[in-house]
Amino acid sequence: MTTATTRNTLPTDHVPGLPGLPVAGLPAAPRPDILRYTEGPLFAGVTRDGDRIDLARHRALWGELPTSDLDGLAGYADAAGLRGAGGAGFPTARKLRSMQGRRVTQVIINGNEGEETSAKDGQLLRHVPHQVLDGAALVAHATGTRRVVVRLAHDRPDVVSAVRQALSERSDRGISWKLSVDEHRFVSGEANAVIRGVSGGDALPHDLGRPPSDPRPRLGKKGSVFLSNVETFARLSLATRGVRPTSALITLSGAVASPGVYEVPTSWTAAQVVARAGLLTDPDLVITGGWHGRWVPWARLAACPLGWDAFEAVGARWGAGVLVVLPPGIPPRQVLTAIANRLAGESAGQCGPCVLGLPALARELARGGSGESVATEIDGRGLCAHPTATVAAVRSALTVLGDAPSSDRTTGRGRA
Amino acid sequence: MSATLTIDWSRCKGHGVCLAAFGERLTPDRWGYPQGIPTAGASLDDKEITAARTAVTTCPAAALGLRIE
Ligand code: SF4
Ligand code: SF4
Repeated sequence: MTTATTRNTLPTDHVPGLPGLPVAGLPAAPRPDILRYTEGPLFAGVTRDGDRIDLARHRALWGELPTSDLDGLAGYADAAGLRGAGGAGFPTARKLRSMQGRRVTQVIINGNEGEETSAKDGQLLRHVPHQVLDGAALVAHATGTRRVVVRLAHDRPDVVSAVRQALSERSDRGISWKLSVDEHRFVSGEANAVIRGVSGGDALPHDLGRPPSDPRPRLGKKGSVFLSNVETFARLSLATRGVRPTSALITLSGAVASPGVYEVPTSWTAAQVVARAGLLTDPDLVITGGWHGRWVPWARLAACPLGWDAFEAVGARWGAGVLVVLPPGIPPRQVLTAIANRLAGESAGQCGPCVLGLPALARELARGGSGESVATEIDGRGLCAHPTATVAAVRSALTVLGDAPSSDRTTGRGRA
Repeated sequence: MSATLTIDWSRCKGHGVCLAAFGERLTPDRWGYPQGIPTAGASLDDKEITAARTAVTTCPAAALGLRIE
């Protein structure tokens, strides 16, 4: 993977499987952990995969860390239309403003990126770690916090060492950096960004990178935590430097010649970025937003520009910027069953309707059913968004496959 | 004043005691866990508060909560 450049290259050993998901005799493909193409500010200065912008180069490109208070940061985030890039898309400005007047004990850069369909966060940390660290430093200064934690999964040692090296170059006054390497675990696109209303309608953002043991916002005597996704911090740093958000960051996998991470202009359509990745065949179906996301017919997505709103408008999900082209020749129902099994296995094992419901749903799907009667007993229950998001993904798949149950499906919320 | 019944799914063990105490609103799912409490909590009528409070105090897992605002 070190031989790849930011120009499109076609590896010869590529297996067009699904990342981390063996299905129907097709072996699982690896995480598409390679930077394929960049046309935009995020990877500025990077000319080939593996190019790390060290602190000196970063400062030469972008100058010193700007200073800004919380209100100023929120203003920049607003102007750039920033949303949490870990999956849930919570407006960053609102999240920043919710910290106003709170005692913030730490800033956490969530680089867990558990789902193998996504690789962008690791790629940012490998190539432009200081843009990410600058974003977190800005929040730390604005909230008066000393402690900034970079949380990573252990299964990508190159990312860990890139961050370690970057941290060794920093000497930010008033900040103590900490690297925390977690046991790898699936990160849900949606479950990691549950916005929990706490009493009095005081909505606190919460996007722990996995089904948490206790997803309630950490409040109280110890103070609050500002946790956000890697890309969000990088974009905040750029926004504060007056850079307009002109690019979309997307991870492509499945039946494309060059799976990987693409930074492309937001004006591009899905068809353009997929063409850039080299279509192996005309796709029929794509999964958007990861396994928790939405299935859409390619015909509906092809002409769609990249980003939250445009994707939402055609029934797709942007999430963490994930697009999986379903390999032709594999029965989509088998893909769906494999995904349902995978998601059932990710239940954090503490809430009955999730622990029992998701495997029951997967069994129903494996039998060829719709699982809808089980789905309604899962929907809206459980401590985090994982079960509800799983049900939504399954329903979207059944809808595009024409297997949706005739009743109940469109009524939405289930019985809770 | 408004009353809301909440559930901590990580505590609920499906004992079903709450179903007997507050059967007007809670029904068992196929596994015996109570249905009728959405993520944001179930808002209650004044006349439901007594039954809800019984469910809260008798739940052996202390999984239920009653929020009165
Ligand atoms: S709903 Fe499922 S994944 Fe979420 S905390 Fe409960 S058991 Fe874990
Ligand atoms: S009594 Fe408590 S533990 Fe039992 S089902 Fe009801 S809420 Fe769950």
